[in-house]
This record gives sequence, structure tokens and C-alpha cells, in this order.
Amino acid sequence: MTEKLDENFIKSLVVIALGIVRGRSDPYELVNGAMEYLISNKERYMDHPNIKALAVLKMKGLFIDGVRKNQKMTSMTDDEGNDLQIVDEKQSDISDQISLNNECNKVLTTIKTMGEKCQEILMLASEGMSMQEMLEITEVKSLGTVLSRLSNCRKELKGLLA
Amino acid sequence: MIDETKIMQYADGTLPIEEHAEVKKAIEADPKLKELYNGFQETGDLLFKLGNEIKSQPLPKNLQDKADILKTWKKPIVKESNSLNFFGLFNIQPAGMAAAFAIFFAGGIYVDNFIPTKNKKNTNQVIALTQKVDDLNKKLFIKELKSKKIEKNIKLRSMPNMEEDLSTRVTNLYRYFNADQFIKDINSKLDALEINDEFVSSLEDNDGKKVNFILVENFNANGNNCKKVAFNEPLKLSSNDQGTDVSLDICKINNNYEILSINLSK
Repeated sequence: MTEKLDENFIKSLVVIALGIVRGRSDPYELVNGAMEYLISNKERYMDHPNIKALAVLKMKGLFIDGVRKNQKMTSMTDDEGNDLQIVDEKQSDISDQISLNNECNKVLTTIKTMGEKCQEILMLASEGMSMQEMLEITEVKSLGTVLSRLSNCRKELKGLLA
Repeated sequence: MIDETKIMQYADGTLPIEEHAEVKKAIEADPKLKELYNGFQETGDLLFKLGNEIKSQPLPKNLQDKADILKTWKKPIVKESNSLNFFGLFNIQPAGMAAAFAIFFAGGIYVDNFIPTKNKKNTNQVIALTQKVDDLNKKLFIKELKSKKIEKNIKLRSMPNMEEDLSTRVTNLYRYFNADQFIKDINSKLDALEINDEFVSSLEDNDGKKVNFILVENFNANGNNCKKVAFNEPLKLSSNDQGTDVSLDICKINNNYEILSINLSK
């Protein structure tokens, strides 16, 4: 098992959850849902070689389920198979639950204005994940795609922060 | 033309070391690349701080409760499947573990006090040995980690993991490697071996599988006859480890073989 399973493991999931929820639901709820799933399936998953990736994929699934449920959607893609941009009038803001310093708050706020792919990969990066781990979680085709996406998103972030 | 992703990896400290020179040269020669490099450094630092800041927040009680449950899942760190199993193979040596860390942070991995003295006749050998240690350090990114001033400019992704993975691998090797037993096993056999000869020691893994070694090279260090022997298959020394090639440099000093260095490489 690659992860030491303790509160730091859960805190790292919170960072990643922020990139998944994109400010549209409570990241703690998402982490809680994933943890409940893992704990209730302990025997099945305690030997999993990459339990963090498993938890993240579960969080992504829970998020999509939540959006579908709230919006009564049957699909997250349009007729051409493109990801739908999720618009939710009631946006939850993590900043009312945690207190970040000004610099970090500005970075997080800026990230939340970016596209969903950038939000996801930037939060994975801020969690300190390796490219390989990001590849597994983002489910993109290649390491090159992860690298170029992260590179482009960081350039965009730099521009937005300027 | 240098790929921007390589600039990013260089800024993060995750670019393979063999590509450093080319990228560094390109950055120094092109102000636009220099600007890009500075930008990646800046965003790298910001993201790292953001992650740490979020992780410094206390967990809600329901998640803290789950963290307590998770703690009960902890298992021995190297109990892995599909790897050469060292459990039960050697005696656990706490002093060895401590020494491993001390040695690791001193910048190399040695297991004995054998220090070649410099003299003109054997300067090349001494340099060669020094070079081996340097190469090892480069492979393990020790120098990279040091040069990055971790406490101040620690970079994103993989560097902390790499350091952690390295220290875990070194620790695990020393936990289950009894150098005295190993030397005792092979002392009488080494001289008779030819290059590429495989030999079996008394060491066994949990399944009773014998651990084989291969004589890779004979060399001379400071007038001493030395041999490089390698484990016959990569070892998985940590949960992140995809397989580490382990070889030992062993020199005959005062008619007894002693381990000069243990080399880990991916």
C-alpha cells in the first residue's frame, strides 16, 4: 500500500476533492462519502496497491452522481460526447469552512475560476502527486497529456494571478 | 526547441538528471524560456503552499473519526506481494537502520569504514570508486534534493515522494540485510567464481526460496581485490518501488572480504 493511512491521507483527499467539486459542493462531504465506501469495503480494499487513486476515483463518481441527482441528468456528456459544463446556482465555498492565508486564498479562488480540467490537475499538483499518479486519476491517455495539461494550466494560472 | 513541459519538470526538480544540461543551457540562452522557467517555479511554489495550507486545516470530526479507523489498517511497510520477500531472511538490526539513515544523509551508502587512501599508483581506482559513489548519488537524486534547498524551495510532485521512497528503500534493505551473515556465506566462495557465475547463499526468504547472487565484475581498489556482486533479480524495497537493482562492492582486506558499498539503482 503506497499510503500511510491516517489523517494526513484524508487531508490529501480534501485537497484533491477541492479540484473535483469545483466549488459546487462540499469537498468534505465528498471525502466522507469515499471514506465510508472504503471502510465499508475494508476487506476488499485494504490491500489495494493504490488506495488513494481508488478513493479519488470514488470521489469523482460520487460527485457526478450528486450532480446527476440534483439536476436529474442522465448523462454527463452532450450529444457529441463532450463533457457538460456543470452549472449549479447554489455554490458551496470552502473558504467558509477553512481559513487560508491571503496568498493561498487568492490562488484557490483563481483556480476555481478556471476550467474543470485545470482545476482538477492543479489541485492534484498541489497535493504533491507525481505525474504517474495524476495519469491514473485523470484517466487521460498518456503521461505526455498530463504534462502538457499541467504545463498549460500553470501558465494560465500564472497569467490570471498577474 | 525545448519542450515547455521539460522546462516545467526542470523547475519542479522532476526532470531526469541526464536532461538537465540541455534544458539549463536552453534556459540560459533564451530569455523567454527563462521567464517561463521562473513562472513555473512561481506556480510550483504557490501550489505547494496551497496544498500544505489546506492540509494544515483540522479535519471535521466525522473525518477524524474515519482517520482513526484507517489507522487500524496499517500493516508492515514492506509486506508486498510479487516481490522478493525479505521478511525472515535476515535478522532485524535497529543499529543498522540508524546507520543507514545516518549514512544516507551523509551523502552516500556505505556499510563499512573502508576508506581508500590516495596514492599516485592507485589514484585512478580511488577516483573510480569516488565516481561510483557520485554516480549513485546522482541516480538517487541526493544531490538534486540537496541543491533544491528543500526547506525553502521544495518542489511539487515526486521529489518529496522520491526522497521518502529512497529512504524507505534504504531502510528496508538494511532492516533485512545482515552484512556479517552475507560475508560469512560468500567468503569461501568468492575467489573461485568467474564473471556471471551465479551462487546461492544460505539466505532464504519466507517461502524458503534461496536468494541467488551473480558475480558481475572483478576490479581493483587501492590495491585490494574487489568484486561486484548483484542480486539476481530486482528487489522491491518499498511500496513505491518498481524494482531496485542491488549490487554490492566487496573488497578483500587483510584476507577477508568486506563490503565496501551497496549500490541501489532503478
